[in-house]
Formats: sequence, C-alpha cells, structure tokens
Amino acid sequence: MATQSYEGEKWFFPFEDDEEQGDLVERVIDARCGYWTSSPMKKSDLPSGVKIGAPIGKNYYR
Amino acid sequence: MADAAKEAELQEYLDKKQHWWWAEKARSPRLDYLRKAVWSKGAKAGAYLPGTKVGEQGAILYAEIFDDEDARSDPYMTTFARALANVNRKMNVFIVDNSRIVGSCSEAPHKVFWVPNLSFGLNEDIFNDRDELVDVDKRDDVEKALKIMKPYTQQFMAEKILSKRHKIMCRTSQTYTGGPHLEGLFYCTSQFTYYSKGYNAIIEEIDGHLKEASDVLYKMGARPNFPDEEYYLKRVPVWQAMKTVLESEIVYAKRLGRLARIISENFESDPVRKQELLDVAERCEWVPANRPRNFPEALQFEHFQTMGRKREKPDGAWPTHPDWWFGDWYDADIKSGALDRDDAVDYVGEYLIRSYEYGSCRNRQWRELMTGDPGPYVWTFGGMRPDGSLDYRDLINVFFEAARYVRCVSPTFALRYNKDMPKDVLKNAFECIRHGLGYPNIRNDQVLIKANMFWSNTPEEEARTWVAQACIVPAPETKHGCMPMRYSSCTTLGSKCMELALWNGFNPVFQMQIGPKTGDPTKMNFDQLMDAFIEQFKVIHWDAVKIRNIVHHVEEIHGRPHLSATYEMCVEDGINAFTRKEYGNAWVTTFIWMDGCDALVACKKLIYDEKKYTMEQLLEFLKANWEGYEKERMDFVKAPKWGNDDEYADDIIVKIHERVRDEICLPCKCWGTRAQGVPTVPQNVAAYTVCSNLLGSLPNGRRLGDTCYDGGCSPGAGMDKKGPTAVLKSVGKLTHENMFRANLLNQRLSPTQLVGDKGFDIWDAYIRTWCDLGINHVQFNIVDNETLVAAQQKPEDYDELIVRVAGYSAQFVGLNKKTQDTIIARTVQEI
Repeated sequence: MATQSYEGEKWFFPFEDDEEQGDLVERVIDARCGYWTSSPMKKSDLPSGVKIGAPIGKNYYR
Repeated sequence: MADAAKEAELQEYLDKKQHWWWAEKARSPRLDYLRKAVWSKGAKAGAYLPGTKVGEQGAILYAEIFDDEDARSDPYMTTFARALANVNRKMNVFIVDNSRIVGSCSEAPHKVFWVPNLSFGLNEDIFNDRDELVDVDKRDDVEKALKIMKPYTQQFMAEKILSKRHKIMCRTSQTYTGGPHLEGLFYCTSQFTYYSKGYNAIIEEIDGHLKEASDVLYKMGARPNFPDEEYYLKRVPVWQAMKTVLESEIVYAKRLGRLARIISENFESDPVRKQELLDVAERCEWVPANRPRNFPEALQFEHFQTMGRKREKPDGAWPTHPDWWFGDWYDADIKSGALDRDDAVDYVGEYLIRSYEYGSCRNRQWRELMTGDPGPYVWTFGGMRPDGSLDYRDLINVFFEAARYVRCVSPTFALRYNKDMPKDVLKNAFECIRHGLGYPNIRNDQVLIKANMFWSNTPEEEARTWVAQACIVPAPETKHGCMPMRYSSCTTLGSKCMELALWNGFNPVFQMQIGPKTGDPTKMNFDQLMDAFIEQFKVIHWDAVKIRNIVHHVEEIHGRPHLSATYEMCVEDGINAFTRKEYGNAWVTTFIWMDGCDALVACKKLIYDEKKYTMEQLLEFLKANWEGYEKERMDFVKAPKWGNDDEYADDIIVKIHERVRDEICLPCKCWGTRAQGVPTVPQNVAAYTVCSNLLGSLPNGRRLGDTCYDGGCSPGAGMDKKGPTAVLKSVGKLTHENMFRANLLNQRLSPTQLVGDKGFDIWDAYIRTWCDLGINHVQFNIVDNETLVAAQQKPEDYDELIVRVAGYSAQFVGLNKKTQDTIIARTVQEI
C-alpha cells in the first residue's frame, strides 16, 4: 500500500478535457484504516495548500 | 517446517475451540487487514460504537435539491431522483487500503449514510444524540438541511392521515413498536436476473418508452388521443426518474475508477498493488453500466447496486441469494483458470466485510432492538429451483469458508435445507455453526415453499425462488413476486394481549386504557378468558396492519427511483415500485409472543382445573408484581410450559395459533394481487430484553422487568426440561406451513458433544428429525458458559466471539450485560 508519507496531503487532479474541473484527493489515516478519498471540485474553489496533479481521464459529468 | 508449525498452531486453536484466534491466524494478510480496518455500524446499549458518526452529506445534498424551485411543482419521485443523483455525483468516495471491492453507502468508512426524507423524528434523534453523531463543524448546515426536508418526510405526510390514537400508539410502543413512518427500515427483494443485464441496457429500454411517449405527446402531426396522452403523462416522470438515478450511479462508479487510477499512477509504489488498482479502475468503468463478465465484476456490480439502493432507503435487512446470482460467473472463472479458489475465497471474504461495513441510520430504540448488529442481513443459500431440481453449488462452500475467516456478524446466512442436499455443503454449514458464528440458520425449504404458496398464493415454481426477505420471512424473486418494502413496519408486542385481557384493556405499565374492554376476568371461565386474549390480540394486530396500509399511500407518493429501475414490471409499465402491485408478501412481526401463551396455560391449570388459586388472587399477585408472593409465583412458574412435549400446554398453544390465523390474520387484506390475510411472524431480535419493561407481570411467573422469552416458538429460558427432542416435538405440533408466515426457534447445543465427525452425525440426525416434524427454522449457539463468562470478564480477548441472539448474530462483547446474561441462561441441549 502507499506509504504514510502522504497522510493529510491534498491534491487536485483535473480532467484531461476540462482542466478547470477535477477531483480533490486526500489521504486519510483514521483509527482503524488508511484510505484515499475524493470529491469533485472546481480549480477556482480550491483551498490553499493543495498540490496540483497531472490531468487524468475525461470529464464524465458532461 | 514453517507450514507444519503453522498448521499445528491453527489446530491447537481449533482443539481449544478458540475459533476467533484461529480465524485471525488462518486468513490471508489482506482479509486480516480489511477485517480489522472495518468500522462496524452496530450499536451497544443503543449507542453506535465509539468513533461512528452519521454522515452529513446525505442530509445536505438531498436538501440542496428539495429546496430548489422545481421541487415545489415536480412529482415527488422526480425530485427524489434528482436528490439521489446529487448525492452520487458529489458525495465523497473512498478506497480503503488493500481493498479490491470498492464503493460505500456513505462518504467515509466510519460514517452512516443519512437518508433525510423518512422520519423527522429520526432526524431529530440523530441530530440531538448525546453521543454527538454529527460533526460539530457541520451542525449548522445539517440543521438547515433538516428544516428543509421536514415537510418532505414520510412521517410528516403520514401523520396528516393517521388518527391521533395511531400516532400515540406508534410513538409510545405500548402494543407495537414504531411504525413505517417512524422507522423507515426497508428491505426489498431483488430481481437480480433482470437488472444484472447492466444499467445501460435498462436505460436503453427506458429510452424506448420515452421515445414512444414523445411521439404520442409531442410529434408534429400526431393525432390527439387523450387516453394515450394521459397514460404517458403519468409515466414519463417515472421513467425519467429511473434514468436519472441509473445514470448518476454509473458516474459514481466512474468516480471510484478514476480515484483508483489516480492512486495507482501517482501514489502507489508496490507494483502488485498498482496493478490491483488498475484492475479496480477497469471494473468500475465496466460495471454497473454493463453486465458483469466475470466473478469479481459480478461482486462489484451487486455491491454498487446495493449501495445505491441503500442511499435511497436504508435497509434493516438485505435479501440476497449469492450462490444462485453469482454462481455461473464463479463456475466459468474457475473452469477457465481465470480465478483460483483461494482467490475466490479472498474476494468473497472482502465482499462480506464490505457488506458488514454498511449501517443504516436508526433511532435509539432500534439500535437497542438490534444491539450488536448493524443488520440483520440474512443471505440465503441453496434450495430447490423452479424446475424442482436441487441447486447447491461449490460457491456456497466458498461463502461458508470465507465467513469462518472473517467472522462478521452480518451478513448472516440462511441455508435452505432439503434432505437430499449434498453432504459436503451441510458439513460446511455445520462447521460454521461449530465455529460459533451462530449461522447459517437452517430453513425447511419445502415447508417455506408451501407457506409462500398459502399466504401469497404464489405459483409453486415462483415460490421456489424464495430468499429470506428479513430475518426469516421468505419472498420470491420474480417479476410479480418481488417485494418492494418490508411489509411489517410496526412490530407488535404479542404478549400484551394476555396482560390486557387480565386488566380489561387497561395497560398497567403505562396506566392507560388502550385495548377494548373485554370484560372482568374474575367473572370468566377459561374459554371466555381465551376469547378475551384473542380479542385483545386482534386489536393489536389489526391496528398494526391498518397503520401499514395507510402509510403505504404515502410510500406510493414518494416512489423509489432506483428500486423501480431494477424491477422489470416498473420499467415496462412506467410505474414506481410501490404503485406496482406484486403478489404480496405481508406479515406483522410479533415480538415477545410465547410468554403470553404460557401464561394462559398456567391460568387454565391453576385457576380453572386445579382451582388452587382464584382469579382475584392472581390479579393481586400481578398487581404487586409478585412481590411478597414468591411461593405463589413459583407455582405459576412450575405450571406446564411450552417446549416439553406436554400435551396439556401444547394443545392450548396450538389452539391459540389456529385461532390467531383464522380469526385475526386471514380476514386482513393488504394490497397484494394474490395474497390472503396478513400473518404473524413471531420472533424477537433483541426485543426480549429491550421490551422487558414494556410487558408487565404475567401468570407464567414473569415480573415487570424480567427478560422475555427469546425466539418466536422457543421455550422460555430454563423452561424446557425434557431435552431437545421434546422441544422439537412441541414446536412440531404447530403447522408451520400456514399458522404464521415464519417462526424462529433458538437452540443452544453443547460444544463438547459436537466435536469431530461424530458430532456432525449427531447434528445431522437432529436436523433430519427437525425437518420431518415440519418445523420451518432453527438456529444454534454452540458455545460453553465458561467461554462466555470469561468474555464478560476480559472482553478485549474475545473481540470476535460471536453468539446468536435471535434472528441475528452479534459479537458477544458488544452486547449489554443483560443480553449477555440471557444467552448464558439458555438451556444447553445435549442431543
């Protein structure tokens, strides 16, 4: 599995065909397990401290 | 050498009957991680386990849509579908480390999904829970959302049409608990053979209907024809709602696929795990949009379907027949070599863990009733096929073996028993029971097929497709047989009828007149007392049925976009799952039933036959809650009791069941197209402890506060004194095909007696006797009191010790002490 060095980090991964939309991805370690979570987000709404990842996949919301 | 040492270690655990330690050491590293990683949504003493929260996103994302302008004029089902789509598109998705089956009902592993349009009382209960179930920083947003949702809840709408009496009785749980508008616990059966073709295929079907509708309604030059126009105007919103929600669930799966790909390509360094994640991504891109192509896809497909369904309505059960549903894919993959059996066990183990992770949003009362279990999720295995052949395939063994490794209390299993079933499957089932899982429970297939034919008038071939819809009630899985909800949302407290008969309809526990005035028992003979018992139960049962029928009207308005899209008849006819009229699988669950029956027997014996006491004296004893009358109480305790093959007691109790069926159940009418009557289902879950303060003192010797009898036809704890065969003989005197919809028998067997192959032979013979007596159900605890007492003293060492409560299994250390003590008190039968 991924190392715990990503714990607490947030990344934005835009769509290849729409770089203003994408997913905010986070690494979480809770009391029982480690997991990755994502939620849809616009680039313009990103909070500070979010790293930007490479575009990936087509926008399926369209 | 290492393997031999490990085998020896594992055998030592088995020899010591420490099956939970055996499981931890024997299962794969993946299953070990996932089993320890999972957040159970069970409850202890009414509270969710520490760390469990209720997710805010369900409430907020539903409210975003219900608050918009279109919601004010759109049909309810249209808004409902848009709300679900909003959830599927925006709610957080997550992938737990080491997992290969992904997707969840809620937004985080430790959170329960909040369906906010059921009961505003439930919403308030959750919001104000003393355990702070809602994240503090989200409370303001949730509060606003709940305010928006209140008038759209089933409860708000239902309470406009229920009477004041109904509302009071539902809320005070005097003769029945809750109500369909308060609990919101649904369990619908699935037409898997229909929707497994994939969502795109269903959408294509819907598009065909929408095109027909468009031609009739909007095509230039189309002839005006009001009947056709009206037909389509009613149906277009339903079809559109179905399509909206299916499309959004395909997006939900794609979101997970994308996340898996992101993790693989950016963060995962282990090459094996990288590839696993790419496989997950491919699976999510294929299903549920398309029909599964292999066994892992079949599991993933159904997991997506089920989680989507549970975001629409929470489920208190989970009707599934996994061996029949997934068996063809499993067989093909094994045969082709695409999958090896060990990997199949791993996949199934994970599937069980993913299912166990699900928990429904429930109020405190329901959390107490189901203490220790997020379910009960009862999955059905094996049985007779419509063509009369028996189908017990190797996939059942895979599920049983995986269950022994992961030791989840839910899902729990029901095995459809036929005498000619393969021995290896039966031995595997026995092994699960011997490992202390408390399941599978054993179901008499031929009896339950006939019971379904009797109560629902289901054609025999369709009746043979049955799954356990809830803990024990079977329902067919066919186009006309599938059941869209739990009929029985209102669970009666059966033995209250005895109490009310003694007090002329007055409830001494709540100090209220709640039943009809059936007369002064001091002036009655025994037949008249039995008539009063029956009359009181009639009102209790008919009230519950009436409430159910009335609230169904509200359910028809709400509709269910996802469920409707998975029912063939709904997609064909453009109707929602509640306006569709199925055959009917009605019942009302009856908690705490047998106590009252034993009480009536004691009256006959001591008051009317032996005349040892008068009725006036008995009423004095009961009024005092037996305080100061212990000697007298013991006389009533020692009166003939159910479960001892004693004709005196059994004849009266059989008569009670006949009269209940003929005078109370059969005259009821529910909405099914073929069903007759509304039968009872005596059973208990944990109600026998929770309801102990709702049922007052009775002539069987109980006091207010004493735990009630567990099970539905089980004898009282310690009341069965003649051994297990006597219990079976008593229970076998009831006609299980038609006296009730189903019934529940708990038995506790000796672990020392049932070791080795000889142990299986003994149990096998017992089961054959059980089957020959025509009994519909039996479930077992095989654990000794030394282990249970040790677990009470040092719970941290017994985390995965499981016991059968009643209708479900639970981790013993997760139960409150009162429930633990009742299990210890159950008679250990030596066969």
